[in-house]
Amino acid sequence: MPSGRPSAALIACCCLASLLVLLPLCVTAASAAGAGFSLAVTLLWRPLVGELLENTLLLIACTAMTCALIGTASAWAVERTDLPGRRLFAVLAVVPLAIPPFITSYAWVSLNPSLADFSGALLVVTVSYYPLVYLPVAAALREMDPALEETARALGNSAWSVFLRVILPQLRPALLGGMLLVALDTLVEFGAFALLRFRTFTTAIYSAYRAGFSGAEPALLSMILVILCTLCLAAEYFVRGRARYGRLARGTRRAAIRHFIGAWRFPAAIAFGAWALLTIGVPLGMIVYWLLQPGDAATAPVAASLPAVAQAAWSSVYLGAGGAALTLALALPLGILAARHQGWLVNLLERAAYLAQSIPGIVVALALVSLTVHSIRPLYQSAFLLLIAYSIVFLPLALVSVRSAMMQAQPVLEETGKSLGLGRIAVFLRVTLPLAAPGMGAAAALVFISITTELTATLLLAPIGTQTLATQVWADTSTLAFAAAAPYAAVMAAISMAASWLLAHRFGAASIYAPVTVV
Amino acid sequence: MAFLEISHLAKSFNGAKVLEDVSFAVESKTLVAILGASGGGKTTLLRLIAGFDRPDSGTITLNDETLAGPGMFRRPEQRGIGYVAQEGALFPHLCVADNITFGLKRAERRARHRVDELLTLVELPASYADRAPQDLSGGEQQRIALARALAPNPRLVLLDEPFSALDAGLRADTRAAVAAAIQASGATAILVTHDQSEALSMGSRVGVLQNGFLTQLCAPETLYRTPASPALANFIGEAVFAPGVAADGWVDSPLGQLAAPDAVNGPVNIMVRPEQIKLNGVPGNGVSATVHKITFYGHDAVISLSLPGSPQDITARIFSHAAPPPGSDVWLTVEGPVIAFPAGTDA
Repeated sequence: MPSGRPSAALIACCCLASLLVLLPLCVTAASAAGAGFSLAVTLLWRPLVGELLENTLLLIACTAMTCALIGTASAWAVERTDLPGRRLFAVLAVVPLAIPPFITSYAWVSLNPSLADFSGALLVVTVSYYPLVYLPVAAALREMDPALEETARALGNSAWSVFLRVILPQLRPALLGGMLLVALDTLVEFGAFALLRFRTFTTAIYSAYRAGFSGAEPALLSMILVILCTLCLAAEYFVRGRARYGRLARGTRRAAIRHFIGAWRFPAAIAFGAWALLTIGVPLGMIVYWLLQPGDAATAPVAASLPAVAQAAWSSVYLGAGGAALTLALALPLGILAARHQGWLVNLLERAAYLAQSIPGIVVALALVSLTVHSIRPLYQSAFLLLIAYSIVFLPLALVSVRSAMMQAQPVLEETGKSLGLGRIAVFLRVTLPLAAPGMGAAAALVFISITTELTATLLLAPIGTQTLATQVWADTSTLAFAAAAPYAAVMAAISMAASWLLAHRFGAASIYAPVTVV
Repeated sequence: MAFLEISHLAKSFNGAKVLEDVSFAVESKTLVAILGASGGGKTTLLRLIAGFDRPDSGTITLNDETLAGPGMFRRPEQRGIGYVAQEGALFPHLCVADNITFGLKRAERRARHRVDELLTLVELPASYADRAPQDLSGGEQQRIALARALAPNPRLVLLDEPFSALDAGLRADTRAAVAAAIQASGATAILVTHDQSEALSMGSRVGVLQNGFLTQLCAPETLYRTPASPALANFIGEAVFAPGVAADGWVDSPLGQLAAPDAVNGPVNIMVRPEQIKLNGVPGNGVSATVHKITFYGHDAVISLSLPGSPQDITARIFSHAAPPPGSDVWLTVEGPVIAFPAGTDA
């Protein structure tokens, strides 16, 4: 790594971005502390908090387990057996990531209104998040040196014994990392659980806020949630940091052994088909079903009209584009700093930005609400504040891509450009930009998708009168107007899936889920 | 019946024939080296013997037991054949001792059965037992991989280009250690490689795999001195070819009248190894030639010579201190017998 000291302007931009990201945490901590010790104890030492903890922890434990089992088994079957249709399943395993969990939740609830509570939450979260295990595990299986498995077979181990003794130990970092990602996403999910009437910290924080309680109660609950998220993030960092075995040596790559599962091929293919039906068929099928129902099939406060849908779609798209631009603008200086410079200050600023990952959208939104309501009134319920909330929530996501994009533009290439007589601006335009552009584009697309499917912050901060696709689906489904919600859900799923497809097509499947990389 | 019998083995991938018809036998406690160009099907042959792939046709028999044949396939874990992959493929999550004992029963694994003995066998200190594979050099990793393959006392050990990833200095030492360990353990082994000096120096018999066929399997000296075809002669080391006419064990050629005991009378194409050609400065002592170019290699040098009336240069390999200056006139003689192929067979 090259380079002298970062310029003061760069440092200033980075400090601004990092401080902005940490602002919601500070506001929340301050209002939690404002409650005072005895009130805090009274508020936290209640059966409600115990129930929330139990619900949340039980759910993340069970979800992580089911996702681990299904994700690993399906990754192994796709990568290591002659399962018919395995290429198709490899694609289908990615699709759930492009369907927001609250849409999946809406589909299941409207299919079976009695589905609720723990079992419903477990079902919805598992079908939504199992790709977070499948993708890294499948990638690790592809990366693994096939000679390891062959050698183990030659040493007398059956396929099952090879899986336990050779494959599983090496999958551990990918598997645990994926499980923690599932846990983290489950902790911050709001919409899916609200529709299922399953109480977790996010839904409790929202109710406390809606009930107009003093800032202390939501802030205290928020702090517990932030601590749980931070624990997940820290565990993820720990798992990734050690035990990265990698290949001992690299040479020519060969395809791995495929196990011929013989008579099991067709039952296995049917099971995979059924699973695809559950994970993709139900959400998309239910949207189509409700689209085909006349508006009065479910109680519709305001039946969806074409202009209303177009208006909501436009809001979602311009907020998504604006949010992506602002997020990228904040991530760019941090990405340059992290890719090109070293030192304690660089580490501190970068880690501060990544820490935002453990601050859920609802916490960010709530903190910004209380901050602006009290001190910066004109900003309250402005579109600009909403964009700021988005950029705080999605900065870590963008930073990972921006940082690796800047790594693509290696300094030695820029130096070569200079040695060929190019000035600073010419080097930037002809060397740095073309090399970093694809990664920056990926970052922008990822943030755009995340914002158009974001519900919580939008719900709390959207300017009066502004309806996005997400808030419309939310408004209609919470009054059980399933048919009215369908057009909005359809447009939202279409935007998200089209953008995800472009992203995955260009950058590979792994690019469409949040890469948690703390460096 | 030989210890390992391969007969009429064929295998294609996606319509491309990698092995067309390969048959050979390996005697117990010998090391057979199979030499072939990369992409020539060497690794495929080993993978079929190990059981990682199924042959399209043909049979593999080990110690009178059919491993693969029509309607018959033994899985790799049932074969008792050790396998050393190109880059060792040590399990990165296990220490050296756990790698070595990987193929043993649970109780033996706990007791670290034979770890010291096997480390000694591959000439590594016993203190290596607790190291992580990542901390070993490439050559050490290969030795551990061999120890791991030998630990369950396999009937046969397969070595898939085990030295190709090592740099030149390590390669010689690792080769010697591996050869010694295999011999000491009394195992039968097949080594595939694209490196001819490796094949010739390590194999008690050497075979050449070309275009899906095993063309010759014999002692290394025989292969080098009397290759079955001009193409094979070119593949195993360098060769000088010249036209000639054979009569009664002698060949008349631009290189002089040369002894060719097995030559069939009539027009022939003779093959001489460059080191058989000797140069001298005595006019009339042999065939006259002019030194065209010298390529210096250190202890020896390759001299490019033009012969009067011959369109092509020929090469001689001599000790470098005896190399004549370019442009000088020399006289050459050929030492030892030459091989005469029927005229019209080209390299």
